[in-house]
Amino acid sequence: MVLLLTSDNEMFSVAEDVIKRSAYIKNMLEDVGESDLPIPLPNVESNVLVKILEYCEHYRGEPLPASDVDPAEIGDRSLDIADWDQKYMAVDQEMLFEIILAANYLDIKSLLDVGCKTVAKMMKGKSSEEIRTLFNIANDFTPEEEAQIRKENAWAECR
Amino acid sequence: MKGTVSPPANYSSPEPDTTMGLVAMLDSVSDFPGYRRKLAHRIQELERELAILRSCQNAVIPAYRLPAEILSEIFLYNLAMDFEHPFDQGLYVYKKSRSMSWLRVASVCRYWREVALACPTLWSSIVMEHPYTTQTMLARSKTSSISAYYQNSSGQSDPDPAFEALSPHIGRLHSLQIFLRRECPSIRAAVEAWPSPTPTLTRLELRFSKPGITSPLPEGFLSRVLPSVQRLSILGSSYTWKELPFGPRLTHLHLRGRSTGENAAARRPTAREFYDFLKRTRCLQSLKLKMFLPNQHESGQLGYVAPAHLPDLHTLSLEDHANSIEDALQLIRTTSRPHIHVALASSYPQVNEGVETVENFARTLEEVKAFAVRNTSGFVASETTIQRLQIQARGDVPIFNLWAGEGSHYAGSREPDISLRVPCFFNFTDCIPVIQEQFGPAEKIALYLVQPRTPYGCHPEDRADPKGPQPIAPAQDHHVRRSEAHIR
Repeated sequence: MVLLLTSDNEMFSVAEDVIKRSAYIKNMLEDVGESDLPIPLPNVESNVLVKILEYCEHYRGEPLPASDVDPAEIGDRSLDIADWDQKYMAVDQEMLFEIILAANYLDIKSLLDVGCKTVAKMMKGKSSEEIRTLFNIANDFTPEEEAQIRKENAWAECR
Repeated sequence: MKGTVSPPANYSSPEPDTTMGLVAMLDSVSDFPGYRRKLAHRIQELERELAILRSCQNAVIPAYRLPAEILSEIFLYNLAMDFEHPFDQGLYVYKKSRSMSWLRVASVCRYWREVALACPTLWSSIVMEHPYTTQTMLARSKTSSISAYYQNSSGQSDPDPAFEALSPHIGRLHSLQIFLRRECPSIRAAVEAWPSPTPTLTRLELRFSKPGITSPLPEGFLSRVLPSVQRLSILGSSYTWKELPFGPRLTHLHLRGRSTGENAAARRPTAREFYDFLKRTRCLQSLKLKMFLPNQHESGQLGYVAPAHLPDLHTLSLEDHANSIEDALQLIRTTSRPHIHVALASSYPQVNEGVETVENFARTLEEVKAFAVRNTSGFVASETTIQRLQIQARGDVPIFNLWAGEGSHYAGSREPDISLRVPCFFNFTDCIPVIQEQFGPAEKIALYLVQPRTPYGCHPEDRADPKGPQPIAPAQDHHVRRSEAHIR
């Protein structure tokens, strides 16, 4: 078992084969070897770690996905999100972003990808204004900047 | 002219250029143009301050917690969604022009714009329809590999300037996709002026929506670039096999010819040319040929040859006359587990031949068991006439689901591993024992027919069961849900 200490001082005891989906923890375990000391996770709160562990538990025993996508081949990116992953990601926005951040910190590539795809899908087909509304983003362009952007996008936006 | 604006009671000695200072000046102003300038300047200042405050507001929302590298990744997925299967839609599906909605992320807020502008890949899928956009995207893509996409539509400006703008960047052109709905001779001149060679071009897709459109590529272009091209897709053109010098690095080949018209037979390779191609392109992962196989009964001229081994083949889609497909299948072996799609050319009209065809295919597929199968599920959406019979194999020991539907596309996201598409006029029930006979005792056979109710979909009750097709007892006592009107 591996002990994990979250930023809000919650201790979790997790099976090694579950948490090894995190490349960060896996490398740490390989570097440090067996230890009774907990691994501190200063960037992850307990409620988020619970979600992360749910993901790792679900995919326990499954091979780690190989990342062989050529970044230049935009069309080769798999855009599918498995049914279970879709349900898993059906959380409020704050939690969604926390999961993405934690997946990034813990280096769980497959979860990070699912998170990014989920956000991208939320944005798909939306106008800039609709995206602002979706994520509660304020339009912080000055009128001059906005005029410049409008000019740039005149052709693309009318499509 | 004089307003009723007054400063708050506790407001004293305002600076002359502050908001309240300007309000206080209102009663005594004599230089109106100067006052208006001061007001405009102050408004501008305030707008900037407001923008700064809004940036601060943004800084504390959840979405802003994402670092730039993750945000870029999201933007790239957004771009990929826009480019999803650009050429996989039906040949006659009319799409006005390429969407560029992924660029909207650069207009949401300052931070997103900053991230978007610092991500060259986001700008590297260049839609060449407007010179200004082409230039802007080329500049923002910096030194990254670029993909150029051109699709002509009515009312757009001449493509020359966009193609000319691409010229200095040919050294990083990675992919070129051209979709023509009408003649566009001016592209040819612009491409002719491109420096030669184009060493980085690994993907080339040409699509012509109707017969007779001349290729926009100058003579010699294909022979120059094809040896290094890995993905080649030419749909609906008049190119012949001989004009396409495939290179050994080819991984994806998609050719779609036409069944009739000038050059229809001469377009095809000879059996020897096809076999040599298979032997040479061992990296092939996806092979999709429509009306581009050697002519029927040509393989006899080839004599006995050992099948070509394509170890990485994951997709094989052949649409042609039955004998041509059978001959082609006999030439291919693989150790991978590919998706196989076989469709008979619609000029194969006889009922009895339909049954015989299934029998022949079944035998051929049995012989080429190297096409192993895996577990998937799929179901059929509906259109107006029965067009499709699919045999879905599951597991290493084949378990077949025989699908027949009015649809030309699936409602599910995954295709079955083996599918056969044949014209609608044969007796489905005859096929079941034929297939069983050829493949051994199938554990499950399901024949699923859907009733057309709407132009694009079947009645909800007739849609495929979410649990998948219901297995029915094989052979004699099989139960069939069918639309009688569509089965002869």
